[in-house]
Order: sequence, then structure tokens, then C-alpha cells
Amino acid sequence: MSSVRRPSPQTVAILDALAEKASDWSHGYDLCRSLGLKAGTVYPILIRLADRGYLETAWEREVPQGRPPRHLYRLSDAGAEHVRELRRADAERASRRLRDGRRAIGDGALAAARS
Amino acid sequence: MSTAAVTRRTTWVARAAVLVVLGAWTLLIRGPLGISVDDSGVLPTEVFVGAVLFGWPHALAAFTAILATARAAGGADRPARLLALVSAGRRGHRDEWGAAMRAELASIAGPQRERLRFAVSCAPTALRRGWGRSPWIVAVACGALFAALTLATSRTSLHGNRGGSLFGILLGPPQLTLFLVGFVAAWRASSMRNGLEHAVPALVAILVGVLATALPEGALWAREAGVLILDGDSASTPLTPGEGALDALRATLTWGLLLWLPWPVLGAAAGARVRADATPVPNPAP
Repeated sequence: MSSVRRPSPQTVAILDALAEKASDWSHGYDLCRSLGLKAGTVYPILIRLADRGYLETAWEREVPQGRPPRHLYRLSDAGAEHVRELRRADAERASRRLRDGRRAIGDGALAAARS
Repeated sequence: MSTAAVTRRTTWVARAAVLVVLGAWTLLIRGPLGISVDDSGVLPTEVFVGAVLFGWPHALAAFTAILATARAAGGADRPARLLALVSAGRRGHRDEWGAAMRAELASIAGPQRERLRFAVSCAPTALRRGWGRSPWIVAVACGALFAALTLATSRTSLHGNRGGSLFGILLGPPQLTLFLVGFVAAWRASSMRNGLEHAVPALVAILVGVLATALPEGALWAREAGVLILDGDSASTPLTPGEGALDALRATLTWGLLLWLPWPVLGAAAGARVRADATPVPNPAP
């Protein structure tokens, strides 16, 4: 039985998006756009992930004139491990569901044959 | 984060707010607070003097709040000003996420609607970010202190001269406490926002603490002494405990809450101002 607590679908989407980019940095607004989520959803999740040590954050170094440096995000090692755990837990859950479904179908068929 | 300059228009708006607040107090004194100019022979000028006496903290708080809001809300357009305002007053790492949102907004070159949508969506997060435990600890301490104070003075007065006890609790101690909480918190963090984040929960906690004690005590005063807990006055008809409690509620909301409201703002503004004045401005590089 897995002890990994399933985060919200929005958190999973953000973790997946960051995991896809591996060591590349992402921006908050780009995450909002690519995932179709509001900034009011994305930022609290980013803040929580950073507080838990799942995110590395940095400020842009090369900044075009006229705007401030943007904040950058990528998964930390702990974050990448967390994503792997989530995926393992997902796979376990799916195979358990499959097993339970097969058993239910088998029991149903047996009961039907007996009757 | 830099602060925006206060324009002449903002100063005029703040002055107008002072007049509106004093006008509202004049109406309040003539109306709900029950001073009839015609019947009692009180002159309109005396009513206005009363409005100034009672309403000056509100007027000053309104003036200060408008100027502080204008200073905090610096930016090129409305979305930038909104985000600047809601994330203003953070220091150190607590400002990081506010700065991140502001920088992200600055990078959005799309239509104004898109920028506004982003800013509005970020606003609650920027506003909430960084509330530590200390505002809640201060609030609980203030609430408990005022509940205990209300109970102690009520019982002392009830077993003593029965002259009423609630006025002494409502007028003075809460204002002073709220001013000090706001002042110290703002001074320590060099931020008016930090002062408000401590003093506003403290105000709510004091209200809850006083009400939680004053209502049952008001009922007890009516039952045991037949007088009101506020000032020891008796009514023309025998008081029921329910009427005693209701009078305590009414008194706490009018003479209490109404008069306490400006003090968190005044304390926070004063604390931030004193700290800013005491902090030396670094010399520019030669």
C-alpha cells in the first residue's frame, strides 16, 4: 500500500510540466498559459512546492532593459523524486484497480455459472 | 520595492475624505447617537465640535490610509498598481513572491485585459502571503486580556458601587492597545502593512473578548442589580437579563468598535513613519 498522498490535479499538472522540462527553467505566466490555469491557482501551488523544497527558484540574470528580472522555477532533486513517487503510486493504484476489476468480473462470471 | 509619489490630486482626495468623515460624525451625533439640536438647545457648532472631538482619529486615519495607499500603489497602469498595492510593505524573503508576480506582470505584453486578469488573479495570493503566526498570537493575547479585564471590572463594580463598568473598558484601553500593537509591529518590520496585519486581528479579538464577557455580565447586572452594565443607569421599566445583554452589545458596537476602528491604522502609520525617520538614508556613491 502506497503512503504517497495524491495532490490536487492542478498540482500534478504543474509538477508534470516542470518534470517535462527537467533542468530547464520555467516562468509563472508561461505555466499559467500552457496549463490553462489562472495565476491565482498556479502561484499558491508554486509557493507551497517551494516551501516544501520541491522547487528551485532563481531570478533571471540577463534581463532586457525596461523590465525587472523574472522569477524562474524548476524541480529540485527532492521535487523530481516526489514526481517519481507520485507516478509509482499512480501505477500501483491503477494496477490494483485493474486487479480488483478482474476479480469482480471473475466472481460475477462464477456466480452466473453456478446459478 | 519603490514607493510612488503622492500627487496633488491624491492629497485633495485625502482632504475631502477628512471632511466626509467629519460630516458623517456630525450626522451620527445628531442622529443615531441621539443628540437633538432642537430639543436640547445644543448649537450646530457644538455638534461640529463634538464631531471633531469624536471623529478626529477617523479623519486622520482616512487621510493617512489614502496617502499610504497612493504611495504603495505605484505602477504604469491599473494592473501594475493593483499588484504593487497588494504586495506592498513586505520585507526580505517575504517580498520574493510579490516581486515575482510583479515581474511576471511586467513581462506580459498582451492586451490590458490579460494583464488585469493576471493581476486580479494574483491579488489574493499576494495579499495573504507571509502572514506568520505572530499576528494570531498577539490577537489571542489581546482577546484574552480584554475578556479578563471586562470580567474583573464588571465583578468589582457589581460588588462595589454598581456604577457601571463597561464604559471604562470601552473607552481608552482598547484604543491604546491597538495603537501600540500597530506601532510596534510596524516599527519592528519598518512596514505599515505589518502593523495592520497585527493590529486588525487584535481589534477583532478584542471585540470578541469584550463581547464574550460583556453580554453575560450585562445580563447578570440586569438580574442582580436591575441596572445597565455600561454606566449603572436604570431603565424606566424593570430590566430583563436579555435587555441587559442587548444594551451591552449595543454599547460595545457603538462606543467600542466604532471608536476603535481608526487606531490600528494610526498605530501602523506612526510606527512605519517613526522607523523611516530614524533610518538614515544611505549616502549616494561618490
